[in-house]
Amino acid sequence: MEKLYIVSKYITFIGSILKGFWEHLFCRILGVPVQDARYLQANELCGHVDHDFTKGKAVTFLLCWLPGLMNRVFGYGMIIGGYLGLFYVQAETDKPIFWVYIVMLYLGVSLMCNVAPLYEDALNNWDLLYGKEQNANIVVKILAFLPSVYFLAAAWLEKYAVNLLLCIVAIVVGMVI
Amino acid sequence: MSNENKEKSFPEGTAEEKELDAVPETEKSSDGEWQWDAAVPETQTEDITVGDLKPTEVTTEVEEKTEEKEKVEETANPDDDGLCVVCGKHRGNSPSDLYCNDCRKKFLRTNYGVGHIILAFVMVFVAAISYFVCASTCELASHLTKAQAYMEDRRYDDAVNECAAISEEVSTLNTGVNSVFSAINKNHSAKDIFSDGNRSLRLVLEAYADTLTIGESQRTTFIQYVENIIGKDELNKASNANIKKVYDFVVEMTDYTSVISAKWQEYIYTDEKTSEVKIKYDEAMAYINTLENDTPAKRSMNEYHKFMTAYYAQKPSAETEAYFENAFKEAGEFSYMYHQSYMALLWETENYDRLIEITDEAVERNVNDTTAHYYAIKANILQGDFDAADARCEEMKNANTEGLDYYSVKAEILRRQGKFEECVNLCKEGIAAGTDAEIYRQQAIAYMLLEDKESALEAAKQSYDISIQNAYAGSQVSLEALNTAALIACICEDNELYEEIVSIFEQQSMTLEEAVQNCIKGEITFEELFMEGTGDV
Repeated sequence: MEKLYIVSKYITFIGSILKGFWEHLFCRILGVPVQDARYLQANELCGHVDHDFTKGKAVTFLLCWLPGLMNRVFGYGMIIGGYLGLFYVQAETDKPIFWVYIVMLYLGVSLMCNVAPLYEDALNNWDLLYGKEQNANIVVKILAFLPSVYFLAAAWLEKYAVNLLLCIVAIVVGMVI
Repeated sequence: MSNENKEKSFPEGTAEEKELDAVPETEKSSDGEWQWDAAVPETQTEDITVGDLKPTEVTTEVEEKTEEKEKVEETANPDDDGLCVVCGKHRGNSPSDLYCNDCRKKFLRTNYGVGHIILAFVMVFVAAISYFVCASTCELASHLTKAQAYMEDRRYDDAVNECAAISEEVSTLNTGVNSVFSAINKNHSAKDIFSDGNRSLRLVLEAYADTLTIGESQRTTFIQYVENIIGKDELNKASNANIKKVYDFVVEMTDYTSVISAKWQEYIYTDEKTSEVKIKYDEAMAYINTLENDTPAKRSMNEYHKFMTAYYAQKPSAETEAYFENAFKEAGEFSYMYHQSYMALLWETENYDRLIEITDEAVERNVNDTTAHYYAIKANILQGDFDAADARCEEMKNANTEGLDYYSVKAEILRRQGKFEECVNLCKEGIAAGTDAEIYRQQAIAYMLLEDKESALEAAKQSYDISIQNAYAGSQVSLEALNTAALIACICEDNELYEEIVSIFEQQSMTLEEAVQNCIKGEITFEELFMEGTGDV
């Protein structure tokens, strides 16, 4: 499964590198030490940075949320524009915009396949907020519940490259329909 | 306990201070705190006197607390040996669970790498462009979605208008993008970067296929569109089945017509005495009867040529209608191609009952068919069924919300019902909505019926002016507008306008309508002309 994960990260290398970069940037902003800043490496840290184990709830939550958010902000325009242009408007292949849509779709998929935190970070976030010995404020718990579930789900999907598979399926469906 | 407290508890020159000084630098932490595990066994004790040895409670307390802390840490994480995972030194008071303070400080400043920073900046630029392209594409997709919804509702004209909006949008985008490129590079030649997209073109084609008429130019254009946009190979795909069906029929009809028309045209001649176009009726009919009739397209075309033969021969309307009806029926599922021509024929032959049936079929086929609505309303008015005309008028408004025909036909209904004030007010609404000669004409008639000659003449002049401007712009001149304006000008004693209009008719070897001439002569009144019979010039 790790191989699958690494392959998916290498296929979406632009998004992987950028996600690693955002993670690194926010680690520095939030004061989390980063030991290894190689964003593309053939192990489970591919697309992430090797940072210190976070203990604060806010720091952990933000570190799970912000790097992915950056990729999402960048990726939405690309993936929506590219998908609509290619499969809904159906741009003619002899027009330059067709190739623009192709690039946008690839970059969009690449970015949107790299929006989840590392699975261990997502678990850590969950544990800090909802662990047995944690005493987080109930309002914080409520507000952070859906994002925390999302972190876990997205990290799990990314771990098994399911997100990339879903993107490929969506593209195939778009092509067929 | 804090470092401050510790400093206070060790007076200068005590044994503890000397012991601390004797410890090698490597065994002291950066903030001067004791490295308890490492320092004690190697301490030099020769120069410590008995007087220096003053056991204090504070020292014992620090030792006890540190031991307790270590015990708690060991209980919390039994695998944690307390050493930095990088350099192997004791982490001391480092807030990190992995690194000592030195390593932690170093890792807080790990470099990003120039390449990564460049990539991030490039992606910001690419994302900005992507959002522009995405917003533009969403705009096109929105028009496309509307167009598709209109197609499903059989509002073909609205669908085509939405596709036209896509083309307009694409044109604006291309102009804008090319101007940006030209500003960057003066040698840039304009290119079509954005495109309407195949789906938009296909929608236009489908709308075209469903509203196609029998006219030769329309058929030829449709064939060209299909071959250029879809291509003959793609046409055989299941998704193109509907277009292919129409295409095959139209191609067969066009090929067949081109063969028989050449021969049929030979029977048409111009009478040298009267300059009228005539036809050798019997010979032409005999020829048509010898033609193939094995397919609906051929049978339909044969009947259509019989109709044209009878029409040129000026046969009774019942006969011409019968041939047209045959052509219409033989076309089967493609009979809608005859709708427009058939409505015009039935209007001409004044067969209003059949006309209303055909308009119903046409509207069922294409909700936006305003011509069908118009004929139906006019037929209803002539039949004196104003309620039906009024209802149809509202349908027409729904079918074409921006169309101006609604105001003119509705005004006519109101006028025929004697609601002249309402008619005038409705015309004012119509004039506010857009410029149309017919609305001014209806308003002029209503003013005349209200005996407001001054306003009537003003409206009649407007109607005439617009009509003439339209004629200069290439549209057909409205004879109704000219006749009505001439009549009102004559009644209002505006001789200049009257003579101007009469001279226009004379230039075209035409005369004013008989009803207008009769009204000018005083044989019928203005009210009789516009409120009785056909109620129009």
